[in-house]
Amino acid sequence: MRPWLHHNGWWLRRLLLLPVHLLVFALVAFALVRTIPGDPVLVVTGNQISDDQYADVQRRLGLDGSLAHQAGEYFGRLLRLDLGDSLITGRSVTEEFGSRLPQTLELAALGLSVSLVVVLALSAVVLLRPRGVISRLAMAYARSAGAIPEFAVAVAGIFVFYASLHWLPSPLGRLGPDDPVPTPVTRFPLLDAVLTGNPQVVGSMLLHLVLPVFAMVVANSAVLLRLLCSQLEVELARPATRFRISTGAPRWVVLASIYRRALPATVTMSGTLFGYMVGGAVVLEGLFGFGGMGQYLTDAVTSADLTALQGLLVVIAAVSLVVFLLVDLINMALDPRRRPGSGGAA
Amino acid sequence: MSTETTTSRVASSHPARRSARRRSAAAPKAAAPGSATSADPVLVADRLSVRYRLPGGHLGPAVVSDVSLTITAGERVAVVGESGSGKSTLALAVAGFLGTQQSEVTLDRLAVMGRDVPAVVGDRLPRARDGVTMMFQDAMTSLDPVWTVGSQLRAVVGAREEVDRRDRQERCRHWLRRVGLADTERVMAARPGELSGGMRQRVMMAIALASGPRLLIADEPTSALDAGLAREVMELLLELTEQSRASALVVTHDITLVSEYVDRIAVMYRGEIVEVLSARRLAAAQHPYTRALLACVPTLASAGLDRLPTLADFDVISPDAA
Repeated sequence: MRPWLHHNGWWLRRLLLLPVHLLVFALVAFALVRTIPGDPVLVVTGNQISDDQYADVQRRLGLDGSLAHQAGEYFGRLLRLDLGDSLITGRSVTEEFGSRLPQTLELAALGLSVSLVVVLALSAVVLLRPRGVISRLAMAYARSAGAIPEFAVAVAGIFVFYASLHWLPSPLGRLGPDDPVPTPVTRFPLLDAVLTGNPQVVGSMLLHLVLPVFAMVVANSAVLLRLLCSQLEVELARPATRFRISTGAPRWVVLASIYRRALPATVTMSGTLFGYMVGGAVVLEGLFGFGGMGQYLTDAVTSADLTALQGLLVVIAAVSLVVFLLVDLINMALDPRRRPGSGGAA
Repeated sequence: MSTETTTSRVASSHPARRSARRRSAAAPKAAAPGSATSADPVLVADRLSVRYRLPGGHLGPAVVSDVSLTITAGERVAVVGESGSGKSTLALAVAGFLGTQQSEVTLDRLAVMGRDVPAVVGDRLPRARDGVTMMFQDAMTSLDPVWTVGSQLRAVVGAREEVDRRDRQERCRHWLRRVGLADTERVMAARPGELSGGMRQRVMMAIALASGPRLLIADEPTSALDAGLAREVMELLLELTEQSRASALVVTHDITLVSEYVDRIAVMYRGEIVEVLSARRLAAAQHPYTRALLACVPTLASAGLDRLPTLADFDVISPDAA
């Protein structure tokens, strides 16, 4: 047991820190709502309410009783994964998030995954054929990082590939009008479509995802490509690479060595980019008629649905923390010097 | 991006050189099949020059200028000189590590084991020169910091010999034992950062020797080590190359240390080889720069001096002074 712990302690320790980080963010969300200037109950309801109505809304917001009582209620509900009921719709916030969040996360994750595949492939071409046409085009694109926003690419894509060329289906949802809707099992739409085993559904959903994912890839890959190529350049010039080459190590070993040392910065950037992609996905959902967090968030903000917003704060923090946990674990796996207790020896 | 600029030289005004056949270094004419024999020199570098590119792509002054060097089979040659003399650049050029994007290499001929080779192997990601292995100054930066020693050694052993996994592991242990590392399991499981400086140097030697070089180039192999360890490493390095019947090209600034272990010493000054001496006859040095280098070495006679002489104390500015 001890040797196992010795070898695996680095990721176990990092994993155990996750609940602590979540607790801190939950505390921040709890404090934030209670330090908003003015009376949250009046902000939500307006001034024209009776004392009984005031007390009812105060209770539903979890703002009744002492601070200790409120904290007890708040954390007790969090432990039961109960984020409260929306003041506007009366529906459970947890259930709303449960059905909508996976759709948004899946879209962002698809965008990031395809971006990473594209970036890895292009960086290899730039590394091995630096003077080729593809490399020159890729680097010209990489230098334009951040110049084109997702929604602009998406609108242009809809105009060209749907409206003009008719190559892709209409941007009115994830499925065509005649496609059967998959039974929600995981709530991740593409995964549920795959689970149906119906190739027509999977194919239709993939076709509907082409444009939004393309928009995400075009808008976000440039920064990743530029970063990875510059890191590869640095690692390529290191004596460690030259020594590997000089000793006749196979080409793929040399490439694996360079990539393993160059990737951590790109992995970290991918974690940050995922947050942007979730934000971008919210916009794209509106543009392509996808269900997801987009409309729900807009409604919660415009109607000052405090319960939904407080829940959102906790859930987004949790998603971000899980993403950064993954980033840390991947980076520690790639570069063992980053593991706690390694001493950072180079 | 520049086009291929590693070029052959247009014959100079020197009569002997004028007759030198123009040859494309970028795509050299291959030697006739089977022409390489054991009697061939391991390395022939003829009139090799290197200029680095400055920001903007312009070429700077020659860092290595018209250097010719021949190393025969089993011979051990040292290139000595002060920092900036061009000795490490010469080693990089011989090993094929100077890409066209960063430098321009011109030469009349470069041959390894009797076969003509291009000045640059590959481009951005160079390829190894067959039979040539280069060890770099600092084992800490030369070994891959994120992979275990075992995996780095296995990659080299596996590339050279087609053996199954168990035999490959045994070959790795063999090479580690050859460089004096007894606790092979622990060393193979460790990453370079988890080893001491001396152990890292030995690991680097083990990997270099496992690659089966005919010519081992060692760039300042002892500069990062203390005096005792430096001597130990130098002894081991040259003993192992001798056992492997490999030739060695050692680049160093320590003329006295290296003279005990090599056959010939080439003295480099301002990018040129100004003198080649037998390591046994250092006292016969003619060039003022070589004499100045030797005079700067601490000896028993210098014990009574207020301070040791430095190169600045000698009037050795012009490389043509000899």
